[in-house]
Amino acid sequence: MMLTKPRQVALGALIIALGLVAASWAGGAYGYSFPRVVSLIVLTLAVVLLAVEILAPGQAEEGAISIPWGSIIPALAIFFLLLLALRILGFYVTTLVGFVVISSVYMPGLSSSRKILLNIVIGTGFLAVLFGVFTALLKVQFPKGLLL
Amino acid sequence: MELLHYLPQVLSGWNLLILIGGTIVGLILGATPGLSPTMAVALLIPFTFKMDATSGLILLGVLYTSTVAGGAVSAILINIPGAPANIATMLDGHPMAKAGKATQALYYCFISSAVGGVLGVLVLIFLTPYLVNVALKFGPPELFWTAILGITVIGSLGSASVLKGLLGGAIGVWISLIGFNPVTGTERFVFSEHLQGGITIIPALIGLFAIPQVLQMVEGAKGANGGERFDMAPTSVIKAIIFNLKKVKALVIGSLSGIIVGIIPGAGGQIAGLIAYDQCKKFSHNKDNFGKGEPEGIIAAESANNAMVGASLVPMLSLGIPGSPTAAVLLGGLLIQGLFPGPDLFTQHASVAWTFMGALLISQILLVVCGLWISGIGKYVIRIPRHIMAAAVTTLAIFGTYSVQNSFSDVIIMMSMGSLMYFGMQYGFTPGPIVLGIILGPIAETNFLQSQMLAQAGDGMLRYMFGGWLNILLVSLCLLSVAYSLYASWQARKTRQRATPDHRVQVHPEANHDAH
Repeated sequence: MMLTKPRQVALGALIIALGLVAASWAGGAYGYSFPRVVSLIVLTLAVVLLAVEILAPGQAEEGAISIPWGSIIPALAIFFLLLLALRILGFYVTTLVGFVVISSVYMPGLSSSRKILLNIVIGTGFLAVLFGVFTALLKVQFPKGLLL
Repeated sequence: MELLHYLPQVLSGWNLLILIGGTIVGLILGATPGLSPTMAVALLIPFTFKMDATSGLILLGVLYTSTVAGGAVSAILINIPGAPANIATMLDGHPMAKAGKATQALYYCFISSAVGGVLGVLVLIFLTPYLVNVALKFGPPELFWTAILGITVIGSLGSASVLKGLLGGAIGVWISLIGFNPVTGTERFVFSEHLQGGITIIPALIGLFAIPQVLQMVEGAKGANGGERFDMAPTSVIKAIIFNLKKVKALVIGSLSGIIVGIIPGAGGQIAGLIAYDQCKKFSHNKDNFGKGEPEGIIAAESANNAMVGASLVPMLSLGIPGSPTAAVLLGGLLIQGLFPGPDLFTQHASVAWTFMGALLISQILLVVCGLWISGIGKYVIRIPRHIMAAAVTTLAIFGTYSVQNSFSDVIIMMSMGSLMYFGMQYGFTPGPIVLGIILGPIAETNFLQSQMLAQAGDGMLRYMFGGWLNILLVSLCLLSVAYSLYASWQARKTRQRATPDHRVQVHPEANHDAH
């Protein structure tokens, strides 16, 4: 049996469903009745999805969208670093750095110091607006960390 | 009539300011490629927390209306729909722009949006109170089945794959159960300290809708050149209004299609425009011009999109079943304000409900005024580059999520769920059913547990859950929506399978011929 993309998805769904069933049945019965019902429904749907893909397979190329890892990995790494730095450096400084890094990494064409400077100006302006709305108007206090 | 009683509140200083500001912001966000109405509403929910319930709902409602209309700007000018709902608008709008009639196309779009929008809101105003009376008969089992119906309908009708939609909805319900049991108070599925408070609506909403779009924006950001752009020659507004209003057939077909699609929960706005476009083409004398810049195509599609908005709120406000993914986000905004759809909303919080509906009606007029103004500056709005957009949305998502509960865990949950959703979307899953599962999961569980307790004192669980005509009707509707969608997707699969061999027969001889 060929493991086509739709079958891989169905198999992945089945593994997730089994994980949910295991988590729902691991705890005591008290307070877990509804999660157990839900996990069994998830399992049933995952089994049906797999059965459909085996008995009446869709086109092999269905859902076979290749993920552009080259573009995605830097973004995920930036997200991860942002989460690490938010509380240490402070929300405003970290998000400003994040803004400049995202906009500079994904800038079309060759990057230049002039373009990066423009991104810094836009980022500072955008964060000034957010400061005005969230901190000055809505009185939300964001963690300051080492900087701001 | 109650609406007239509450109309002065709509026009009071603060609410009017929100209406005008919300319309302009919504139109700009809608016009920005890559920002869908659902994501825009989800991103701006945190701004409503410090507002009273009425003003908060007005802001979300007006954003919903104006982002859908604003999406037409990029559809017409750069052939990229601002929202999926504007796909049909693009078919004739962009050819009109190519022919040097971009301003006219935008004028038709906003005028017909307003006409359709007014009709959709009128349906909301007149139909909702009747459906609310039905909701008065609902007890815990009926409310449980209503929540399940909402999930099955969005999961099955609102997704490309029925099984994946339902699976997404069920996983969403399971995610909503993380944290505390609402009746017994026991803690469950807390695998990390960040999950102690459970997964609340806002981080889920913002994460599932905003982060995948950020990742989609960066996918092609480096190679983006902004597409083809056109100059916008000035044209007479009055002439455009007269021309538009003369196209009664297109307006009626569009508005009716939008209203019908909107009332059916889960059908979504994107198909409203396409159905209206298709029907208008069938009944038009200018069939051959469709796809080449026919104004009737724009008028039908845009009146349908905005008629759908008001109509999609009918089942949401009366029964708690959203008519579209954006209505599901709006439901989240309603629940966060401590309001629950149904009879209570129209008795205990009548002022909120009627002021909100009145505001939606007024917003349609503002939509024309602001839309005609935006038509002039639209060419600047659509030039915001993707890399700046991605950075801005990420920053706003972080600030918006944190501001709700001052919780850093929420930011981690938002980012993690959003990143995972991006991969889920690559494999055919959509965020709508998952979000709805997270929103409706606690409602379903609370009513399930209450039913369980009441059933123990009565005739037993089975009889209590499935007894009475309302329960039977709701269960039947759940089954019917799933069965219909399964049948439809089975048919589509068979058609594809039949088409594939034929296609091969056509291709192979040519390939062989070439080889020889």
